[in-house]
Amino acid sequence: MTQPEEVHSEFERRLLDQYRAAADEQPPPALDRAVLDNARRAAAATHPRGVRGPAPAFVADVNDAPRQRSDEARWGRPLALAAAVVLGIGIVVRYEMESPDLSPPQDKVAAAAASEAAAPPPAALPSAPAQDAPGAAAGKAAAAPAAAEPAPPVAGAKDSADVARPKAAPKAEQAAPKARPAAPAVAERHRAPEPRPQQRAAPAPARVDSVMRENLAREESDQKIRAQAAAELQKAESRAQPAGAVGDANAKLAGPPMPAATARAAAPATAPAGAALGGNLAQSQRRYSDANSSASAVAAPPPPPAMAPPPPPPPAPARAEIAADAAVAPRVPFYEGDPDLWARHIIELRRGGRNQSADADLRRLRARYPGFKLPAEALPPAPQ
Amino acid sequence: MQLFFFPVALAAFPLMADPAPPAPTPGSDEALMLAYARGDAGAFETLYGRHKGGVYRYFVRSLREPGLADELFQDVWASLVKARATYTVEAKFSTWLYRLAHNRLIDHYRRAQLVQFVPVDGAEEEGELLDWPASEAPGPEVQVASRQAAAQLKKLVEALPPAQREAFLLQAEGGLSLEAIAEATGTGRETVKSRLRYAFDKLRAGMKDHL
Repeated sequence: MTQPEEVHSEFERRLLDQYRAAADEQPPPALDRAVLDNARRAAAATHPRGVRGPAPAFVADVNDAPRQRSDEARWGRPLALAAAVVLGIGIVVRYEMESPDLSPPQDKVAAAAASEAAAPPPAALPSAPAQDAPGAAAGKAAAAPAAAEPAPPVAGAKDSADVARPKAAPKAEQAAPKARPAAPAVAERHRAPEPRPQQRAAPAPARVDSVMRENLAREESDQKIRAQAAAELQKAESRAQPAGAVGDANAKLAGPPMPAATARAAAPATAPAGAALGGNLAQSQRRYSDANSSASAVAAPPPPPAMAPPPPPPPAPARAEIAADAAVAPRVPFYEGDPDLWARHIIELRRGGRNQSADADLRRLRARYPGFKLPAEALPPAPQ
Repeated sequence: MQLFFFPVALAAFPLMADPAPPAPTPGSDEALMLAYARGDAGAFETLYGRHKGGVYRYFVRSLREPGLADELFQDVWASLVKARATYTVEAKFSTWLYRLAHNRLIDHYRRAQLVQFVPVDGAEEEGELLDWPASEAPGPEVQVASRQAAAQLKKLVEALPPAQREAFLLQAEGGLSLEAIAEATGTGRETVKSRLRYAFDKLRAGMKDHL
């Protein structure tokens, strides 16, 4: 025992020495064994490194200090690297999840580039000539009201509204000033809803590609029909046949969108027959009539307020020019954008006795709208 | 980039902020305790042999019940064994050991509701902590025999107020300085000095015929 410095006097020092000499109590041996056994068990259970808790401020062995540092460095640096990797991955994943995908995928970009290389003006190719044809007809002679001033192409406007409108609309306005009051109303009616910026940005290449393919397929089939119609019209002109035959040929000349108007002009009895159709077809009849209203002054029941007055019928030479223009520049019929209208068109073709055209339209309709349920009147007559 | 280096810097911080402490003297109490913390049971036996008597007498004088002193004595060493993993050399080992003993004794007092300790520095009048039942005053017949002086002294020590007795025992048995006693008991140095002065005065008054 050390002697404390605070012992003031000799008496106190002697008192302490006397007490220490007198105080000889020791713990009993059983208590010693219990304490020592407990300490040995704890020491035996102690792993050489397992007991190490927080680093002591003072260490008994000088070699302990660097060993503890190496222990910390052993787990500290890998832990830091792992934390950095996890953090980096987390930031990248979060950035990927939160940022909008503004760039189209590489395959779509490649497909769009290939299609552009194959057909330079992708969407204006089918729709611009379709606008030019009626415009030229109206500008030259303002002839053939049913054929020269059709409604703007519905199918083309629906499918390629975003792409074709900027190029086609100015041409139509320049070439067809008389159709100007009617065209905006129809165009607005058939205009696709304005897409939001994100919708417009992401799928644009794929949409252009699909529209181009559809338009090219339609173009091929229309060219065949119009070539036949042009040949028939020329024959009819040369023979100077009556107006009914001219109207029929004119319907062929105008292509698929025209036959309804020409059929009404040639045979007005078809309207009551159309009224006998079911609700679906009646509705399509109304839409069909609305679509034709800007072009047909004969069959349109109540003309819309913005509709232009019907121009006088064009002379025969003008029709030939129209036929030539139509053969050169095929356009997409407006009814192909709506299967109901298309079915109604097929029905009217069959009623007019033009089963071949009706079959061709039926095949195209089935190819384009595989799930559409056709009315029985549009189907080909059963073989007898 | 800053985010990348942040965890690295965090991991490197403990390596930089670890000053090398001075090593304790080989064979000292602190070195033995650290050795035991690493699993050396022999170091504990040495340590136990050095301090078992003082701690035992500390409890015996404070409690005057051998059975209870045994229980608290065993508890203190069990606490030391349990705390070996977190032991750090921040003070003398004896100071840490008697702090464990003091805390265990205070726990006992609180459970038994025998004594109310006033851990405030300053004036501590004699008799303020005399809730402990005092032993009978030594009679004149005890003082005459020199061989009975030791027994008289023990009785006088046991008769001291708990705070004064504890300060005396920590100095006499543990050899602690005033600062160490203050640290072990959680009081101020001047309080310990005052307690010791009162204790010695009483002992002197009781032992004046034997010294």
